[in-house]
Amino acid sequence: MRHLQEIELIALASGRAADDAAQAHLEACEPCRRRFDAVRRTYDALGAWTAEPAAGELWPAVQRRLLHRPAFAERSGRGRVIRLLRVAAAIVIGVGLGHGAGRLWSPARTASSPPATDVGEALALYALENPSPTGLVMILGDDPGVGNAEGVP
Amino acid sequence: MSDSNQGNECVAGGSDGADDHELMRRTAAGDHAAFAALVRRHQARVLALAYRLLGRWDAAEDVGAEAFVRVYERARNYEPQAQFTTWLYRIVANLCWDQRRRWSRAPAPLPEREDAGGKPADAIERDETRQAVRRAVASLPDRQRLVILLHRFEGLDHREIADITGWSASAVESCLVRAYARLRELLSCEKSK
Repeated sequence: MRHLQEIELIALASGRAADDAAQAHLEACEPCRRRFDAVRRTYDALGAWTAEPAAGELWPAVQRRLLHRPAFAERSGRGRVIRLLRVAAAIVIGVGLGHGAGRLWSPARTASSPPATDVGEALALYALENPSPTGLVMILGDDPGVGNAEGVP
Repeated sequence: MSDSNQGNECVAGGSDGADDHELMRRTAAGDHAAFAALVRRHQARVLALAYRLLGRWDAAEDVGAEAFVRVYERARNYEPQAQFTTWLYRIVANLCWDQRRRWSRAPAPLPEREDAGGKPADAIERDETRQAVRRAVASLPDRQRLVILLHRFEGLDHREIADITGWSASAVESCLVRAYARLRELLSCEKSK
């Protein structure tokens, strides 16, 4: 005769064992019945520990937490609106900055930048506009008799 | 708390009598009413489990709320392979372990103690029995405590507990046997005091 294992006694005590053979063995076997009574006493004693939640409703606390989570905003449709607003704000800021920069930079650029395409040309134009006592115009001039230092006696 | 009210059973007052899997599907689609129904259906059991694992209602409420937030966040990836409660209890148990780990690094708050003042004698005796059981369960190692709570108070068998914990069925079995044996000793000591 096989005696019941402890796990079988626990299952019987909790009423979750539908094993007729185990039940029949228990009725016939005194040692197993004594072990079973001890397990059931422990099982029943644990039932004294009732737990009544202090807070009846968890939902308000769950809702409060969800408001700060991206998943909630996304699923509630707020995420889509927020994304659209962000894109729109980025466009407005970009256009505004571009416009402001354009206005700020373009007059200065026309005043200071020569329309020349190479450095030599730019220097010549600068020299023509600003006559220099050092003879820069002569150096750059086409006439060697006037502009060349070697032509000077 | 009833042991029979578990799994995907429909509870009166739920969202159109829908089962847990259906409520999860609707939650994933953005139906907040379905999610609220899911929370209301399971909140008492989640709170009780967290309270028995942590010993404090404030911490249990914190863990309970966070567990449902995790459920919401993962609703889109949820696959109804096992019972919804198996998954839910796994989240609760993990959050409780995390909380206990945090407490082990910092000074842990004392467990709440109910005041028995002004109660009739039989109520005081019931309170004392309850406190004795609570002390006995609290003195168990973490694993044994979890399996006892899931078995005795959530009405789960060792295979379901194995699904929740991820331990083997035989490991849960031996844990359960040791836990009941230890509680038998502790409670008989309490009685003889």
